[in-house]
Amino acid sequence: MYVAVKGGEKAIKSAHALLSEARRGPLDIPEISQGQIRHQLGLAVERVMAEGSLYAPKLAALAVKQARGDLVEAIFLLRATRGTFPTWGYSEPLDSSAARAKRRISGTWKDLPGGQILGATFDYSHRLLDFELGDVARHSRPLGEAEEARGEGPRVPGEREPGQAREREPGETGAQEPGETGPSLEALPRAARILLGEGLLETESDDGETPGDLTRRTYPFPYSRELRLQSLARADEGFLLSLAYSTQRGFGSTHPFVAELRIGTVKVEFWAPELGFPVTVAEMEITECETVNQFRGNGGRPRFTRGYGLVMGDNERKALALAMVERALRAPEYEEGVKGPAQDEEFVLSHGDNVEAYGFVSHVKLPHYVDFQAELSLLRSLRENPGGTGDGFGEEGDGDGAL
Amino acid sequence: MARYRTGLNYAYLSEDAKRVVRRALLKAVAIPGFQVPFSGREMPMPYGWGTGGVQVTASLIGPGDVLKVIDQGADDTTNAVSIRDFLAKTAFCRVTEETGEATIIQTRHRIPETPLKEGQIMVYQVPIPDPLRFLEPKLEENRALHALREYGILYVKLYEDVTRHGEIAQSYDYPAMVNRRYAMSPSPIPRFDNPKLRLSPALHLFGAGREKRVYAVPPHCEVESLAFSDYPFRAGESGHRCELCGDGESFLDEMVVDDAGGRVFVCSDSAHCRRRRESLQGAELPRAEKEEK
Amino acid sequence: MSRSEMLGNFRDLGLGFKDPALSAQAAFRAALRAFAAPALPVEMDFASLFQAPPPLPAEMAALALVLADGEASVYLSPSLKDAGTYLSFHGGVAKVAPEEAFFVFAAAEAEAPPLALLRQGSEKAPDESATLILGGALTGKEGGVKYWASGPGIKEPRLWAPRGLSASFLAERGEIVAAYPLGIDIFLTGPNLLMGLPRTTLLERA
Repeated sequence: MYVAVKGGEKAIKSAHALLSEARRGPLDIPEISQGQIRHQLGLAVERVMAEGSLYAPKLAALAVKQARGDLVEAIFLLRATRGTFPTWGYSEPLDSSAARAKRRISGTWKDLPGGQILGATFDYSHRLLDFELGDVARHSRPLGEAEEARGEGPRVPGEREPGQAREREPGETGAQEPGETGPSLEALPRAARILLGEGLLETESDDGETPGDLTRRTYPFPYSRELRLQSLARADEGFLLSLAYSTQRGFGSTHPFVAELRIGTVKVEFWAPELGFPVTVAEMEITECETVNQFRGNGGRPRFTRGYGLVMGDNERKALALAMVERALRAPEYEEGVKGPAQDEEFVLSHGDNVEAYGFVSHVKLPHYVDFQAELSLLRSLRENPGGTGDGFGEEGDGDGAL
Repeated sequence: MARYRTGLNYAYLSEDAKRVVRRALLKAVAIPGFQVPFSGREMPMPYGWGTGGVQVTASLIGPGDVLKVIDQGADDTTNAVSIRDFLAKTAFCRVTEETGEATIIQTRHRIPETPLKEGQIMVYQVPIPDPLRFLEPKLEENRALHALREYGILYVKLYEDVTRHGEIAQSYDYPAMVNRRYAMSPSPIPRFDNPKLRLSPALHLFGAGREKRVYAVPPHCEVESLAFSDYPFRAGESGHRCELCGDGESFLDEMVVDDAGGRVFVCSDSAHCRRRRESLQGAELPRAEKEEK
Repeated sequence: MSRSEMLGNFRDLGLGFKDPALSAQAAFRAALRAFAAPALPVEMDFASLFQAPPPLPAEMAALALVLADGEASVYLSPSLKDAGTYLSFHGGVAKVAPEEAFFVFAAAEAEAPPLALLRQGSEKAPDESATLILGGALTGKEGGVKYWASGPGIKEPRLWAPRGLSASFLAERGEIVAAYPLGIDIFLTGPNLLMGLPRTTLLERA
């Protein structure tokens, strides 16, 4: 008899016990720590923070552990946690030009002021499994090489850890200081600025409006650009990647060039009315991507258009895809016509959230036997008393709108 | 902020989050059937699994409430158990399976068989709040159609059913007109349950978490299932009796009992069925007809 | 600001709900009941929800803390103005002009802004409309005119004799809610009393 779903409390308890056992795995293998996840599976943690909309590396690492490495589940955990936090206020706008960069590349220029900084990238690595990494009990990187790559001398015990940058003094230039993880971006003018100077790129300006907050209010479509960027910043990376790809294959092409992609650490400042000046409350890593796209402007003075992507953490693939989709979504603004799915704002923004999608797709697993029973009775009665033209078979379902 | 034994806020939601839902609920009651947007929060259960209903209940519930949670009509389905546990633990209220005893009944897919009373609140878990969604997926288009009270496409859909099948082929989530103004999805309850909404003495609150909408049917409110004068609304009946309690009027689940296609029918409302069995104990059960196949 | 100045300011702020969660819950249920059963006073000991008497009538203070915040702003009529600091400290409530407010608090009909001035929502968003919380309306003098109240939430038409409310105020309301689904919704309040007049409630002179 189909009564298994009516298992109730005992079944749930047992499922939790089995889950806990499966999470831990064989007891003769050491348990993984939050620190190990944070530092050795760092990109998983970064993705979970970006899509979980919460910059909290330790919590994100815990989420990855608790979710057994299922990142969408981990993202969901982090979002649910975020939902219990009160909102105290909003930070000052981030100044990404005052970031400490660990990577910065441009595809539009062979070289540019400040140079190309490859940083820690999979690019140009040959994707061959490195068996030396497997099951090592020893230190798995030759000491000194990374320090040398960063232009540091050999490390002496007691010295400041790389990455622990000292505070910059007010008025100090951004020239690289020993011990910083990379040159300051102050020394790196934005690649886009080069084109702006020549008037070849559309200009952007602050309209002075206070940005909306998707996590606090609902907004009707069409969204303003900043709401769109917010929505995309927490959208599923895979979804954005595929949409960006679809524009490259002709479903709403935007001809992007990567003007600049940068990953660095910025200060988060909060303006406390009691103090009357902004205080730094945190530091976080961001990935920022600017694309330069097909020019427009008939006859007159054509200019390149642009796409923009900003993501919390080290999420390069996401920032790039985001900038491409963001530009695609500006199709109505440029009167390009909506030809591909990536240009359809409501379609993209309503379906990009993987916490929503995951939940709703998976809810189909829940019992639906009441509605199914209603359908069954109806179908039987229709077959017994055919009254219509009878061509209704194969008709689209009402969808399971069903919860 | 008040913290209770779970280390979480009372009824899980922060007071900020409750305020958002509460504001929306009052407007929902004031404009029956209108879908009021609200900025919902992620809940510790997945979207699609009752987050809207849970947010509504959590915004309502107090320690003096008596809570009943059902899924498919039954109190002991896994998701009902899980949601009831969550709410009882975070709101430390009493729980019950008795419809008559409950002050708040959270439900997925059913309205209990026991008639509801004045003062009771039904909370529905809603997946897709807009009855127009499967006819027109764009939110703004739908808002415009509701604003204009332009429900032609709903009638066209029902009319197509009639021409194809000889009757309206919508067995659940059957649209209804609320207070003669807004077309409403009664959440996917079977159409068998639609008449229970009409002029009900209870307050009915609908929460769609993922879609971030709430709507309401106040007590004693007109709720008319859409139909045509020559094809009137029919709630439908199963033509069977419950194998366990003999009820021939309640909504029945069909259970396959063997590999030969043998089937029996039992009440979907488990509490109703149990009560009938208890009150009929000793007395002869009305004979349930066995399906032969 | 000196320490003693700061403490002095805090003293002026008074004390909020006895229990932020449970007091709010109780007050909200009273409000919900009032809207679900219009034209019927709901009795509730609102004063007992607070640690100390708030600087405005307890039923009004309770509704303000339960419903308003930085995103759903309020207007306070002249004699309630002084409670602004209290509400912003305990509830993050933002004060705005009557035509922008989602919650309009008026101590009495004489202080209420003209109803036509308040937000009435739009065809697409009738919910983006004001809720008026009007004091002195349940215990004042009987106006002499009686009404039959009907509509959702009311089983049989209910006879209602308004107190402290003029017939012209109710006629003004009648004109506004005739544009249903647009309109405004009203809570009438008196000491430990609350009565709902959502826009769907039809009032006909008896």
